[in-house]
Amino acid sequence: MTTGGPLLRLAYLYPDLMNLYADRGNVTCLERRCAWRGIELRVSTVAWGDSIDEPHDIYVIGGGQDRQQRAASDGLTRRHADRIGRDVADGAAMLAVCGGYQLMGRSYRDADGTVMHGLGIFDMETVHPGAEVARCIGNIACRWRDAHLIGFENHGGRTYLGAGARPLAEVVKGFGNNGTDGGEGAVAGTAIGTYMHGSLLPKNPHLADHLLATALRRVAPEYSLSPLDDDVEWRAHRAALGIVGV
Amino acid sequence: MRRRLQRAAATAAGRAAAAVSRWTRRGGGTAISGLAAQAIAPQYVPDALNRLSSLVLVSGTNGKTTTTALIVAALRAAGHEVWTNPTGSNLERGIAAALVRRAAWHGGQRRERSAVGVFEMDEWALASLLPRVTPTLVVLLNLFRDQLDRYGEIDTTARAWRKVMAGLPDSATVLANADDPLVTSVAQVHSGRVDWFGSDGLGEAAVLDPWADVRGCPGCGEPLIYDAVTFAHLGRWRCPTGDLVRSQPDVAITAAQPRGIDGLELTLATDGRHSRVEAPLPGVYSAYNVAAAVAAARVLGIGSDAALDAVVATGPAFGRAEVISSPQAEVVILLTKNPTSANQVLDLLAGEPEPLDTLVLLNDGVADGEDVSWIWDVEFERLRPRRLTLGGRRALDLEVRVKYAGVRPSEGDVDVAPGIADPLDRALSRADGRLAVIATYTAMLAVRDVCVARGWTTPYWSNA
Ligand SMILES: [Zn+2]
Repeated sequence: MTTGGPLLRLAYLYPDLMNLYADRGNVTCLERRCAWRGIELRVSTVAWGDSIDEPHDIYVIGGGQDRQQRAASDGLTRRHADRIGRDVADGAAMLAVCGGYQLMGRSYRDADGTVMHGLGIFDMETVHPGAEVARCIGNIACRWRDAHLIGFENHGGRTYLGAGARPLAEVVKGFGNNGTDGGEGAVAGTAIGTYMHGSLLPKNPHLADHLLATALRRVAPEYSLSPLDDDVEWRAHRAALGIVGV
Repeated sequence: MRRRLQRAAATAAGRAAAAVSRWTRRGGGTAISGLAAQAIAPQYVPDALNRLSSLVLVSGTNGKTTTTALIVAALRAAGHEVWTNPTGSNLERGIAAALVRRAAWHGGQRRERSAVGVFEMDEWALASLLPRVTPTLVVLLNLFRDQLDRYGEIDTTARAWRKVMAGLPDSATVLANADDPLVTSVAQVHSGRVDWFGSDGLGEAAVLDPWADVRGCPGCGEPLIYDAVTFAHLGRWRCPTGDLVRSQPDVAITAAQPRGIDGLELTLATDGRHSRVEAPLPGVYSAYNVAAAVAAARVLGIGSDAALDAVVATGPAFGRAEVISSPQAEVVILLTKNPTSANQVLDLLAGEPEPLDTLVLLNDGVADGEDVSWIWDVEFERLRPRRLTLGGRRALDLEVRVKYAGVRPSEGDVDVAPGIADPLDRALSRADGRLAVIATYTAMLAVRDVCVARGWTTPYWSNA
């Protein structure tokens, strides 16, 4: 497709391992929002054994079951750490969700006590308190900038940020990173991590466009995103906020 | 003696609760009566089940209700008295309720001893009940991602199943889906007889859909190789390291030709014989339910001809492609519980010769899954409706999904109305001939309630 618009290269990491909560909805959302604006979004799916040969402007990774997450940790640290780390340091956008978010921290100790290494993009550690401890499950609403984010969380691990990362948003309803400090997700430079899984972006079009704007700053600094008719998205956003009483 | 009295009291309490529940129109009384009985006698269910002449338990994510109905039909056609839970109330309390309805006031031991019990069981209820009963046959249909907010992960379910399989006595037969690698990893734990149903020569694509739940070998974790995929992660699979091996099905589906919403033409191979069946059950997924029922009948000593005749005579279970006539249109209710069943339903509609008027209802109750993100793994891109109406408590989530899928009805705009009765009425007012209603579990019950209130059909418990 030749659109005349800028080209963005998106790497969708491990859709075969990490699509537990329909996380690919986030990629679908970015694809459509680019297409509606004439931006060419080239999506490469990166499977576990693949190499990432060229730089990318957006990285997206979702959540997986513990076993798949162990495989993902292995693949990320052994094969993909350099490329992803270099691109993100160079201003590529990242959306890491749930299990993928945990693997972008320094480490994740799972329910069995197995420690998985992460890429350290976020200065944070995640610890699973054990299978007998209740998971953090439910609708979640947060304050983000001067607006809200709405999503659903379902995670056993509790994440604690270090000095080098700050939370993405402030929990209004739900658990967030650890259920105690009121923080949800993490931001480090142009990378965003969050426990709000599944179809986060379609009901949060402002966050979707924030990711696109971040990526575009790197490839086409003079380009500005044209507004879209997001009436349907915002109505769904407000209805979901209403369901959690916000 | 004390136990018998306790049991009689439990039965009485359960019946009273059911009567009150029906009388106050709160529902079929299916769960409440079971809760009452269990409260008085906690061992009520295992005690009663162990007194039956034989006990069949059917579990798996999709197809439990239909498969149970088919096995029951085959047994009844062969002259057996069968006790079952045909309302889909498949937790232990639902079984307690079914037993309460059947049991005579004084415990009814004589009748119990001549009856065969066939019960569908929720995946986790099976894991909890199995160590306390001695079943004749355990049917394991499939494992798909479903209501994750309640259960966690399907690997966790499989682990729980393997644990109870290890303790299952050798006298029990396990009947399992050879096409499901996860179910295979469970059934192979059983040290007694294991029979298999599955496909042979069905399916072609060797690549799994992106939403498929199982991709790695449950044994060694290596990516599985598929020589054929029927749908989701079902098919003829191989593990590259060979630590888990697919079994040859004892009852194999060798051909399956969907006939749209109305049914399915399939061929089954059993013991070297091929039989063609026209089942009034739609979709390729129904072929697995039929194969499971025929294989179960075979284990229970019923001839395959008799079992097939019973299948042909058995229509869909309530809410599963059930057809209800309204003054405006024929309402076809298609239950969807997870990405796999929803994608199967969309396949079904895509097989209709003409686009259908379609109503999609999404609820987020506990029984639906409170997390609605799974709709992003449903390929609404394949939906080609004539007119399209969206409803349910999360109608607006559907509207966003349909927008990003680029769904264009061939007539009119997408109509959105939260709730159940309102979108149903709006869809019916525009419908022509047939209205396909795709609904999650509680939405399916609610839409049926509306149809019952208007006198278009009877409550689901009335044919139990
Ligand atoms: Zn293997």
